[in-house]
Amino acid sequence: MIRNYFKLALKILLRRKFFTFVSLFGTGFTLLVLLLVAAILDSAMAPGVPETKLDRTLHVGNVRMAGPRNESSSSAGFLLLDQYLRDIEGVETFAICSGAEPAAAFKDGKKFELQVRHTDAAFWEAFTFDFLAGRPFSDAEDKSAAMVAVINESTKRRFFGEKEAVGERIEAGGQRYEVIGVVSDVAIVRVNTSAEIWAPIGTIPSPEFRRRLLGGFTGVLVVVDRAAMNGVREEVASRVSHVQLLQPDRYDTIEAPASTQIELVARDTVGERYGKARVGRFFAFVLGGAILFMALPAINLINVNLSRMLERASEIGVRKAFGATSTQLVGQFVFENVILSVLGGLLGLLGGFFVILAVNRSGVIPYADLAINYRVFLYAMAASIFFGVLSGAYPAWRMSRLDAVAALKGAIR
Amino acid sequence: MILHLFRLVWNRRRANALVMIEILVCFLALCVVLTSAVRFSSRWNEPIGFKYKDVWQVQPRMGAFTQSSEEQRLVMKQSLAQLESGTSQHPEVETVALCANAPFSNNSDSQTIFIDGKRHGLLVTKSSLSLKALLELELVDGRWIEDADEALAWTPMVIAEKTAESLFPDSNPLGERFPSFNREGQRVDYDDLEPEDRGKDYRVVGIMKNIRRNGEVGTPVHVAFVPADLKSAHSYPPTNLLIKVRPGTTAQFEVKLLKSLHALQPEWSFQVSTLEQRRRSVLRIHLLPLAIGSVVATALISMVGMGLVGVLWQNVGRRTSELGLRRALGATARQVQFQIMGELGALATISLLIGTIIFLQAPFLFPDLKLSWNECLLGLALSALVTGIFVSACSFYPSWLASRIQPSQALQYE
Repeated sequence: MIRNYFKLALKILLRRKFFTFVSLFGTGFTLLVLLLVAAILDSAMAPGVPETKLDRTLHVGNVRMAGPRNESSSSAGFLLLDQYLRDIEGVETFAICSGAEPAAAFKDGKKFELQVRHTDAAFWEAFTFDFLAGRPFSDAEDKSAAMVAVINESTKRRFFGEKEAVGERIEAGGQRYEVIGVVSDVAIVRVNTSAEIWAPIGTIPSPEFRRRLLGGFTGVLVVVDRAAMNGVREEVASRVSHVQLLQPDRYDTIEAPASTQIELVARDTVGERYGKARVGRFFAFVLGGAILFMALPAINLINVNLSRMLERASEIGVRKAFGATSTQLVGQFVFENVILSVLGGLLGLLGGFFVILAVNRSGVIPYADLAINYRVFLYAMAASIFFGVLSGAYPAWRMSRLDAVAALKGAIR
Repeated sequence: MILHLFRLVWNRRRANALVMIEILVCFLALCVVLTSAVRFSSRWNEPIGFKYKDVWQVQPRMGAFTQSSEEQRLVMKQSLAQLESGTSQHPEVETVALCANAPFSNNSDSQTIFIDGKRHGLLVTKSSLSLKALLELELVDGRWIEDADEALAWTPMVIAEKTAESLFPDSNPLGERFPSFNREGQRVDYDDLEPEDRGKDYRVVGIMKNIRRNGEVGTPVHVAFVPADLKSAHSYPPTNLLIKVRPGTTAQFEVKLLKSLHALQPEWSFQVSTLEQRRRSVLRIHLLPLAIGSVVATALISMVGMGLVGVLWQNVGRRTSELGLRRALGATARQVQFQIMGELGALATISLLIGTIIFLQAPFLFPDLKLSWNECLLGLALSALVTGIFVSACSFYPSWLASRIQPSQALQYE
């Protein structure tokens, strides 16, 4: 039966080429745009090199201190992370890193703005960077403020060409580092790891940051397994609540929630920064946006499908006369439409492949490594099928209600 | 005749409803894109209130001030003053000024003011006296802050025209005390406030031309210039160093500048950019959504266009007998063509009317956008024009096909 429907669907596709083209173009373009958005979200939020343990990693990023008259919020301070959050049970690795900050570097009289991130040695265990040459820096090097740094592949190529970079010097932001390692580029959408130069925290010139509860850093907690996550969250919350505040006259409470990557994104967009993360609402917004975007192409397709259906009035009349039920007819038409949408989806996937290549190459998103992996492929297929049902259901329902006698006469208006 | 067209549309209302929704959605998408385009282009040529050419910006990075003590603050202020005087020694440099709230940035040092009960941010811009010359700010009335102001018991303040008009609608603000507000947004008398709530005693001494901080794509901001006050430990210092370089200074100067800055303050790091570069990135941020929006809107509309052609084409095919009969009864080919185009035109008219009503809610629904009626109406008119052309283009080929139908075809149809 399904095979018959399939054959029929292909026959009908070939019958009215203009309509087929309109349908395929509409579905293909819609899915291409959705695919691009999905690929960007995926590369920012799903586990991947170097954030391979993302599903069991917690971040302590935003901190808020409040008092009766004052309120201050920012990223976490070094003091808070270093003094209060070490050695939590269930945490495999605890790393501290700064945000990426621009620093000027000069090469042959040309200025480059390099993103520099300061990290401790544990950072290299918490994340699995892909080392092309050399090694990460050690705890001893961090403690002794050794002027060493790891650079990414593009920076290596920009400054040293094809030559070996390890052992060379690179100057950025007025500081000279010895290059000890080269890693593959990390897309800028990976906001907790991406940079062009990674240097030890010890090399930050002013020691002022060590005395701060607020500002500049993120704590990364890799938990042994997902079951231990809630325990770690609670422990972080209880430890933060016992932090000794530096200006008790101005501030009396401090909050620093531990969040997964998705929770961080939700907090920054639809959720509360310090209260509930509202991951569900975030996904509802993404899904709602996608459906809204699909609405116009779907209406267009419904229109085209209605026209097609009326052309097939006599066929439907014959089928009805021979006893096909409405349900069967609806099933058939929706099935045909889903096939058409999946075909369009595959075209969109093909187009998306080239668009993604172009985006990766163009540098619109620095170091983008957008890819169509199995997850993105599944999103695309699910969206195509949903789109097919969405645009096929109403015409199919109309078709199933055609009056058989009138249809046979060809008198449908 | 025209009424008759509407009746024809009404008779096939169920099939037409979907087409109408399509045109409506396209029209609304066009309205959004074209109104933003109108908005940008109408703002483009208005004065921005300052000059950014040959101005460089240095941002020292020294961490947040939240916990710094009064002594630290004093040291910081001295260091900043050293940077200011040290930088002005270079032969390439014309003027140097310290200031908060630099143009083309989005970090802001602001204070809340209330206008008609609504909250607004006032950019309280601490700055060196040289800022006016450096950015070529223009006074409308009164005077700029001066050296001699240090002797005053109060703090002089120069406010933008926009701020002056909204806070002092009926009086001349010159010499007046800048109003204080309580938490509910009511004006309160400065002398009635508790001493710790008072803040500084600001008085207006001058009024500036309006400033659009984001340049050509921005709107005028509420801004007040006050002296940087590098001597007292009570306030935080402004942390941007603006440098006006002599015309013809190349990017090479940056290496030299960074060296001298590091020599003056080895513990800080510095980020140097030109206002020209910052302006470009602000433009990119504002224009990128418009560019993406136009690409997506164009694709959606061409998709809908093809769909409409298909539907009409099929429609004409099914109405062969009706159209043939009209020809047999003496209607000319042109009249038949007019009928098909007119039917879609009537549909589009209804969609445009509904769309216009929906779109005119935008200024009320999103008061933050500050859409003006002129922008809205011009955007609407352009969108209506484009939709009209688009709909006629879509119906042209099917209607031409309709006009070719011969009465004999109609008779043979069934």
